Amino acid sequence: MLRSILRPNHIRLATSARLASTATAKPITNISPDTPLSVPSLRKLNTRWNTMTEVEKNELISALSERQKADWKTLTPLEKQAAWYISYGEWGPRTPIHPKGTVQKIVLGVLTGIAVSGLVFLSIRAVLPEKPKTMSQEWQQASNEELEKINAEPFSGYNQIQSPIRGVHPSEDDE
Amino acid sequence: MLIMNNYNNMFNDVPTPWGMYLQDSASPMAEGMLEVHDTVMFYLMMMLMLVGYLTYSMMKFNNKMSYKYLTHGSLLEFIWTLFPVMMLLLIAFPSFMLLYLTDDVIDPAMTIKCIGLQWYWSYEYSDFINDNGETISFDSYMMPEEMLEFGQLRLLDVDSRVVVPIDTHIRFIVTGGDVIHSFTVPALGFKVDATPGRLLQISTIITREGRFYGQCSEICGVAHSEMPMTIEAVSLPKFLDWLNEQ
Repeated sequence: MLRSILRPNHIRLATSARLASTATAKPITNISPDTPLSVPSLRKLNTRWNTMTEVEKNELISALSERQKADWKTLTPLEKQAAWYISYGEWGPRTPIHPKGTVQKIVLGVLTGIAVSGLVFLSIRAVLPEKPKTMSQEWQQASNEELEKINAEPFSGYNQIQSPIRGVHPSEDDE
Repeated sequence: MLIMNNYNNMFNDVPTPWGMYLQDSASPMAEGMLEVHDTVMFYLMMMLMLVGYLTYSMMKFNNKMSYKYLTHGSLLEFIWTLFPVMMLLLIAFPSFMLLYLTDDVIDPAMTIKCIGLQWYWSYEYSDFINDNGETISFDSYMMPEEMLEFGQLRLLDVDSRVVVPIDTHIRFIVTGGDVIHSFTVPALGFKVDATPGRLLQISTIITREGRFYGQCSEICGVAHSEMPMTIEAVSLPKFLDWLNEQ
């Protein structure tokens, strides 16, 4: 009873899971520069590394350094991969700050935000009252004529037109 | 800037839809402001390109386009400290010169008092009196939408414009009657806060005839957008005719 209080269930489960995950790797007994390490002890090291105990890690590290004392050409590809992973792999201080998929998550979030604001904008636009009467091309053409009369744009052209034609276009009317 | 100037048609004495550049100048002060704006933009472009290239060189260390020796070196550090200093000086000198030039009010030929009120402008031509011995003054309200004549500019045209002569030193004395407003005419390079209890002055010589529009530029209440100012610059004889009608 006391044992179960001191050692909560989830820790026990985590420990057993860890043991299960490392169960395939047999203890390294054949430490010698000339004998290749057993394949199970090295396979998928990057997925197992964080769940291994310190003892297991140190064993593997020392075994690999023993192996590297011999000619490196004799190392098996798995050993090279394991040595590289232990030295430079994404664990300890080299663990990535942001887990994989963060960029996609951010991009998706931003796009969703833009889409939502676009929807809000369009729905507000949909319920707005009618545009002012000056927002017609006829009116704006008349504004242009008025501005031309007062020489409003002496250095280059001007244009007040921003709206599509509504009703009859003045030029069509003339015809 | 030159390319932009040639390819857009957004200069005006009035705001233009999708306008991307400043309005045409109608006074030496506004001309100076345009000049400073263009000059500063030129320096900014140079700075942007330089900093952009340095950043690129830092990020793409082994790229064909980057120069890896640009990332460290004492001479380089010296240069990239000195360069911004020079840039800032080049920007600061013309802008301070312009600032103090615009502040100067030298021997104005006439004075107009502009009082910002919620939500209209009240103008007073203090140098002239009418037949009753009163100074000429009037209120200027925005034309409401339903009263706009065909072709008039919404939110810009007013019922009575400020008529002023061209080629004359004019002083505007600006104040507020209730809250802070801002007397702003971009084509003349004006932007003067109309602060209650204070008189601020600005002077100008308008160099061409025209109608120059502006809008209150200090949030002053619900109808802040509905108190524009319209200055109509006319020749001296026309101005005198207008005066006689008042």
